[in-house]
Amino acid sequence: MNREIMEILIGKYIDSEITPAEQRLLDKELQVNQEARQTLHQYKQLHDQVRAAMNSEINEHGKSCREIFDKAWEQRTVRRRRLIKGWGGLVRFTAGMAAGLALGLSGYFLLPKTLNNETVVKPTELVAENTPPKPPAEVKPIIHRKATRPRVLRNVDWYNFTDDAGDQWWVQGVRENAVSPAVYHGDL
Amino acid sequence: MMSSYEPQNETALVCAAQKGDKQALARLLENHWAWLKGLVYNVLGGPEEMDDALQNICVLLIDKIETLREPERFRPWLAVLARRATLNWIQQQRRQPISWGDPAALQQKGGFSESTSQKVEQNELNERMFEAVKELPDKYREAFILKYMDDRSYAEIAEILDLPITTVQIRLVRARRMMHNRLTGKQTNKVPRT
Repeated sequence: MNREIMEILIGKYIDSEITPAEQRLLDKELQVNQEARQTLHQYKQLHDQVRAAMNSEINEHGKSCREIFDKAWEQRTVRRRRLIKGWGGLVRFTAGMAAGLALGLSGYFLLPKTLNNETVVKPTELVAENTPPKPPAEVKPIIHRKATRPRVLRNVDWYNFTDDAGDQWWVQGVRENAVSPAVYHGDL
Repeated sequence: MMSSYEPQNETALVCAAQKGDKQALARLLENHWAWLKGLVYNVLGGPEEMDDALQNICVLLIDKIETLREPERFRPWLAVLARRATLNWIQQQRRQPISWGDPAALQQKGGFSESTSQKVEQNELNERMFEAVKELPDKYREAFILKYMDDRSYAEIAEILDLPITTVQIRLVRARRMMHNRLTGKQTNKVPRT
């Protein structure tokens, strides 16, 4: 068994992590290997010394867990109370502003718009009204439109049609399958 | 000394603590107090101000316990919270973490036991012990302190440090070997290879 594996097994034995199979292996090695026995003894001694030193250095110093925890709990409670107190005023102010805004907007949109600077007095009953005579309504002149040539429509097709009487017709067809009435300039 | 740690009870305690049960939270802390102290001691570099740092951790724990989504992973979660809280606390106090390679600073901070009731020999041995511990590389020292603070199992240390169990075993073996070499006078600056 090489030194590395031996040290691992010894370490596991000291730390109470050794399995039964590993324990048998270590026991076998300890029986035949003087160096292994020496190393085990030294590491066991070191283990006990370090544990005692760490215990005296750390565990015996300072306050207990309960004491520190109670202090921390109290610190947090005080902090929370301060936070609520500090933020409480701001919350109230914000709530007041929001309520005022809501009230103002509802008043603007819902209430009738008659509350102007001048108060309007509605007349109770109108019998007759003295109004000045109205000028005659302007009569718009009739504009006679001259017959004009039909406008040229783009995107249209023209079809030549001869009826039973022998008259020829030009039929205008719009490309979107819409047919508009033709204009006839013949002598009818 | 083996800590009386029962995973099922701990999950129930965590759930109760998340609902605001002060006693459950106090009980949880008591179960993990020893290694928590070791972790803080490792970060601070000495026992002074440990109480203040631990109190800071407790305040954070009370505030943040509700954010823990997996109650069965309380221990690694607490380890991460404690480490970060201690480092932040050090920065807030406007001081640098004590370098473990600075014996003068450690002595000024009173890093060694000053109990007058201890024998001189024991004091000297302790002094040499801590000298050897502080010369360990950081990753070995962390596992070493956690092992000797609370006698945690490899699995528990692996969970706290978020490492595989075999890595914890190797680090402890190497740390022991370096400690032994140091205390027996075999000076070496190299990490002993396994």
